[in-house]
Amino acid sequence: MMQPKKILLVDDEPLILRSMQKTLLRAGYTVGIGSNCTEGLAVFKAAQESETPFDMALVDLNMPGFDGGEASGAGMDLISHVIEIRPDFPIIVLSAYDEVSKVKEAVTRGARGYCVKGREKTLLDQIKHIFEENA
Amino acid sequence: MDNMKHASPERHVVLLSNASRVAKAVTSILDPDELLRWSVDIICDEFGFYYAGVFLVDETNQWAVLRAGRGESGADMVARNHKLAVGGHSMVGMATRLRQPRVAKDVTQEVEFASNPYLPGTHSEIALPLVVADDSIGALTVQSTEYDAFTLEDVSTLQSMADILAIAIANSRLHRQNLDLLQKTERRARLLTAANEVGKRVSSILDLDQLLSQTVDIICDTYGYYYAGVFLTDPTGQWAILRAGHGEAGAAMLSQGHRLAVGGHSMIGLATSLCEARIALDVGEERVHFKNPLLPHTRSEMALPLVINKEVLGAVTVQSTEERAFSEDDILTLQTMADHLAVAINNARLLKELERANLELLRTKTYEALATATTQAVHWIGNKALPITTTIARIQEDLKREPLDLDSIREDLALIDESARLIVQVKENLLGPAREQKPRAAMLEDVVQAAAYHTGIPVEQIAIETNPGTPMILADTTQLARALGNLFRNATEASANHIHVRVGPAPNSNMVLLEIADDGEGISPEDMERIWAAFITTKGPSHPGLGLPACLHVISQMDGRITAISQPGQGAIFTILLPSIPDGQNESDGLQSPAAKPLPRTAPPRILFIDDDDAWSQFAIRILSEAGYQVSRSTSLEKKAKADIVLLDEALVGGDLSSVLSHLQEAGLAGKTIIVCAAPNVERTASYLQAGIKDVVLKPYTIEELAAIMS
Repeated sequence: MMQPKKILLVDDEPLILRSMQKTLLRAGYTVGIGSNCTEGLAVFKAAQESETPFDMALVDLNMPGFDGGEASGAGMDLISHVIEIRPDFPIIVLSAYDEVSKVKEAVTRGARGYCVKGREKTLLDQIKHIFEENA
Repeated sequence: MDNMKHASPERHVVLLSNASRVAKAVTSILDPDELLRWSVDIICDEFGFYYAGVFLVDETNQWAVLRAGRGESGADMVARNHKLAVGGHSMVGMATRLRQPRVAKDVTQEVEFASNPYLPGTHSEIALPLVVADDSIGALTVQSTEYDAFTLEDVSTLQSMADILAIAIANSRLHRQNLDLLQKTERRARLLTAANEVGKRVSSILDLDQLLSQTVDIICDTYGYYYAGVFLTDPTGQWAILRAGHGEAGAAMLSQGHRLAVGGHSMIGLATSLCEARIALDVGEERVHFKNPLLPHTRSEMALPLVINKEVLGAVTVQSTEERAFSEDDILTLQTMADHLAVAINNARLLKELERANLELLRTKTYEALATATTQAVHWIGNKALPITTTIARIQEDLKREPLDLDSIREDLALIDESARLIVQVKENLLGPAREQKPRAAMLEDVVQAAAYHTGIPVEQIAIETNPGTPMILADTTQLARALGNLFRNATEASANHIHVRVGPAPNSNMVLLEIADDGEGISPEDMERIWAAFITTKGPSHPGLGLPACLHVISQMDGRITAISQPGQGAIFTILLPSIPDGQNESDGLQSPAAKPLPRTAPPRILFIDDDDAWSQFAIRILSEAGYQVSRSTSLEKKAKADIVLLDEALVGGDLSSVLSHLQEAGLAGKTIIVCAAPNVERTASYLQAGIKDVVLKPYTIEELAAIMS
């Protein structure tokens, strides 16, 4: 039997975190969570050294950064850090920012998808699509 | 005089020559006093008489007053204001009254002779009347130490001299009167002009401070006064505060905030408390004069109250370096000026009050509008949140029951879904238009096309008609496409089968006109009044009612205007005016932008346009061809297509974007493809980039923007 895909979810909003976690679990994925950049990266690295590293990450943009302070683009740094460790690692941004410039920056840093909060209905399709592409 | 002797022929000659000297002198000596003195000297010196004097009748016509007298005695008498009653018992008095010469051969025998201690040697005297046109203006007295000294020739010669003197005196008096009258008239005219000038400015200068400072300058310049200032009473009525002052002294006092107590011991204080003009002809004698070190030379001062409807608004001070400087004309015209000022001050106060009232009203209205909008928003969100909470409670209850009523739970979930969808929609509609706009030059026709494309309006349902002379607009194309999309969506939801769009220059303005007409259900007159208000919808509770308010907001932010007309059952017409970009900035005006020049390279780069044959592609192809690029265009990707750069229009109407994208990937051209969009969107941008597209950019509408993409 195939091992379920493992997704890292990083967001500082507890309700979003829990809700998305449930959605992903229900969809058959294994979920790890982090509520800020530092925690997210730590969870990612820990899994990386284990037998079951993550297969994808869903990352918020506006959350506490590596310096602990709230920053509108903190998630961008997390993307860069993760991509540095695993260049082909798929990351989807899940942000309230409905801005094309943010999309471009995220993609430049290595993100594979971008989803505006409130319009997340297609998110599961996006995830599935990326896993199929990588298969 | 019948028994008078004749003069010797020699004396006769002397008399005649001296008479003619006097006649000449009269025309050359202009000062009447000098003429009189000279005449009495001639009479005594040349004719050899003891004394001569000239009397002139005073203003009361009761006295003949000595105006010139021979020698020291004469000068003494003039200084002592020597005078004789007209018609009294004196030779001069009688001659003046009777207008006839009087002769006394022996003064001791004459009843009319009044002996004069100054002239003890007089023995004979003649008094000759000074007559002008039947009016007696005085008399000439000539006296001799001899008895019976006067010959007939003496009398006739002296009388003719007296006649000439009389005329000369009358002329000089007339001249002086005329001069006085002329000066008075001129001054009055000047003062009235000045008062009139102030009156005119009252109606043309809206700034009160400017008016007051100009008025004090006019007063000083026109009347030649030392200083003028205007005081206005403060709202408490306790102080008269200087609001304008002439010259450096005025500026200094203004900077010190000079003020005087209303009712205090100052001219201004009294004028403002008593509501009447105060005039000090000699401030040295005036107890209430305020000694001002900045105005040390003031000798007379006037304080005129500024009164309107019995209310004192302040006072004007006018000061002169001379004593008794104010004539009646001055006071009258200055008071007229003060009255004009009072009107202006009152108007300014009324205006200020009006402004304050207006501001107050605006504040109230703004608050009301905010409160209404907030109340509506809160009310609306409450309405949408309620189904969520109640439905969830119901589901929780349902889950405790056996067996589960799955149909009910499904229905409840649909309710939650719908409510959540509407709340998200409000967020989208409220946040989008509120974003800061980035206006740039754009082809309105192309933005309209993009809006229609993204709204999913089928090509056959929309016709876009563009006037060839339409200038470019200045707009944030992303926001505008969103706003126009709302209008198209409304038309579709109003069951429109056809949307007709017209684009053209607005007549007589620098705007571009956009008219969107549909054949849908139309809007009823009562709905028409509410369509622009937020959270109000005519389409039932499943719409948040934010489409048109968002549209209005976006267009207003662009300095544009939007209006709607509609008849129920006959569709709706939305008319939008958008600012066009200033002349000289249209693309056709400058093809020689640096990047548009052909660069030195072995072979010109090949550019493939994947676009419809529309105004934008024609513009872009022309510019790039002129710049030396090798350009071709198609609505789909042909097999074996070779290109160095592919420009793909996102709003590709004549082709299929997704198949074009996959063909580009297959042909290995995705990395050379730039997608141009009038209104880029986050999800689409992410997917294009994910598909390997080189870049997604705002559609360029100017040479500069096009050049920026090419570089």
